[in-house]
Amino acid sequence: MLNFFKSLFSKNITNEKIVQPTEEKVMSNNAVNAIDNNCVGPVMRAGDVAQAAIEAAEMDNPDKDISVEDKVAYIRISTDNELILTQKSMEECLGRQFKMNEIEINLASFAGQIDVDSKRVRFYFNLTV
Amino acid sequence: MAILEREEWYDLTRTTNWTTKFVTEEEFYPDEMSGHRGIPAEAWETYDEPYKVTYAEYVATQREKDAGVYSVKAALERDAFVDRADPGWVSTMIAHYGAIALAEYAASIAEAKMARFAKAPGNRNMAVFGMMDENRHGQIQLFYPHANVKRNRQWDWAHKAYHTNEWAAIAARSLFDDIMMTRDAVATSIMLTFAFETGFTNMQFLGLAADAAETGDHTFASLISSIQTDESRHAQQGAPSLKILIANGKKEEAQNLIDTAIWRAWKLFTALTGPILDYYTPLESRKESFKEFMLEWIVAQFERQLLDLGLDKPWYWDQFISDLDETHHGMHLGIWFWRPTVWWDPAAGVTPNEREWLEEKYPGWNNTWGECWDVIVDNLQNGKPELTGPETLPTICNMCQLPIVGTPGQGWNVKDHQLEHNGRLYHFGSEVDMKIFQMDPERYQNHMSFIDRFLAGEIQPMDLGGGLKYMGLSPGEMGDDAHGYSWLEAYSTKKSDDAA
Repeated sequence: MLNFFKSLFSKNITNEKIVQPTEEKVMSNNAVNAIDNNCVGPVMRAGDVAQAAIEAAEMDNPDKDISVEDKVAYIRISTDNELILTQKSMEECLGRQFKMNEIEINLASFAGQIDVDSKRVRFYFNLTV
Repeated sequence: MAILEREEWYDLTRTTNWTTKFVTEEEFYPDEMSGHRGIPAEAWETYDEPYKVTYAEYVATQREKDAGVYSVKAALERDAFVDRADPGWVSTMIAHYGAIALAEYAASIAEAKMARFAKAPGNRNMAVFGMMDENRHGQIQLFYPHANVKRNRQWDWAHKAYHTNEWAAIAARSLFDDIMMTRDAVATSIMLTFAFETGFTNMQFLGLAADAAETGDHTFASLISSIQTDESRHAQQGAPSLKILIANGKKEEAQNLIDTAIWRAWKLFTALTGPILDYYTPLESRKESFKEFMLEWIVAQFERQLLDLGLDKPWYWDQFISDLDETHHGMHLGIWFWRPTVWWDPAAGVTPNEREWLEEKYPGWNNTWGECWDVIVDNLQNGKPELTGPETLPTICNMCQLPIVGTPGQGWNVKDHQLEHNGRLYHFGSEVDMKIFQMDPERYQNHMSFIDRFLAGEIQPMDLGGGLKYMGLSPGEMGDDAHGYSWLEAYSTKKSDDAA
């Protein structure tokens, strides 16, 4: 396999390339507009805590549309501007005791800013775009 | 006895600060290390980390995380997934561990720097946990690949890569040295924890986990997604630093730190993560394209958060969005072409079916990158493999330390951006790379790229053997096509189908 690389490093290096102006690229809308969103919420590792978080998100944010995207390894739970998960709802959905900070074991990422205390975790944006 | 809730005592105890008697405060927190930038101690005491944990909580949580991850590994060990995994996926893991494992140890040192020198008490406290997190990531990502060293020496590069002068290792070190090893505590909190960890680690640890789960590699999916739960906590050190800098008239400097870190991280990911997600991962297991993951994690999630903190889009935004369609295809082509110079076996990923997928995800792929691959396929089919390997060295960018690439074929836009500075000629892969250099030339001007070292005579003898030796690549380690060129059969089948 290596014989055809024998001349590697042995020739003069040429780096002068023909340069032509790039044409203005037509970009797809989703690329340009992806930043214009107000989606906040947790991205959970798949499992029972993630399933509980989906239910708890509905209970704790009753007036909001909660979107759930299942990517097998992770599940993105989101809504606009603010999403709250309470310890109380998590315990109810899991059917067991649950300390709010235990969510970290399965909280792989999140959208928005975060605020954590003993009773609830809150994902939010200050600014609406 | 009832135990107080964390929020009833946490703020008070962690804000406890020393009043130094034997040394001055400046000697205790030199600006060079702490990066206080003349902002008074009282301002740093307003630092409010949004994701608070106590030591007791930390230990309990981490124990649970490790118990989960190690039990998945133990349960699946005898399944020997690696032995029946697609070779492209094996290359993905080998590339990943080599590029990541030791960088985690380095990150532990960067966290230790914040734990000692950050003037904000909350930053110091969170960084202690961050330091232990990164130690966990270093150890666990050496332990997992070590089990496979018996299969193939390339797995040993999990430990070896960063100790060598292999070109991709030089590029990775260059990035991490710049954003975390050679910066003060405040800049580290912004460039490493905010820009890199809030942003880019999601690509490598969750985007890739999604593909791993699809592939059936649950051990790897469980491992890297668990690592990311640590990241999502300790990455929260940067935002409070940003708020203090902005409140004290340092927005421009903060923005520059972020813009530099994002661009440099992006470039490394075009060489590492881009090829993995769009070419090495078996087609049926690709959850999304590299570009789609970038839009999800970096544009929609991370960049949007940047706006919420009162910062702006990076000044090179349009270029960045446009490059989402381009740069990583060039990096992939280059890495496959120079395959003996990497520690993994690059998968070509260009069977007719895969090309259909690429064309759908990146309209125009066949008229650009596809034209180069057509030539490679022709040469391989006509028994001229020597024409599918390099005869010269690529030009390497003096900022990102990666080959200078552009779009070939009908979309030709390859350009070497040159700059003469103090009598030395520098080469850059883009205007952005060059501008980052120009903003702080003293930081970068003495670094020698792989090509600079070659031309200076540091690589001896000046031939392939000397180059591979310099890079630390021994037989059995240097890369070759992941599938042993068996993917060419799909073209022969297609030809006979077309003929029929």
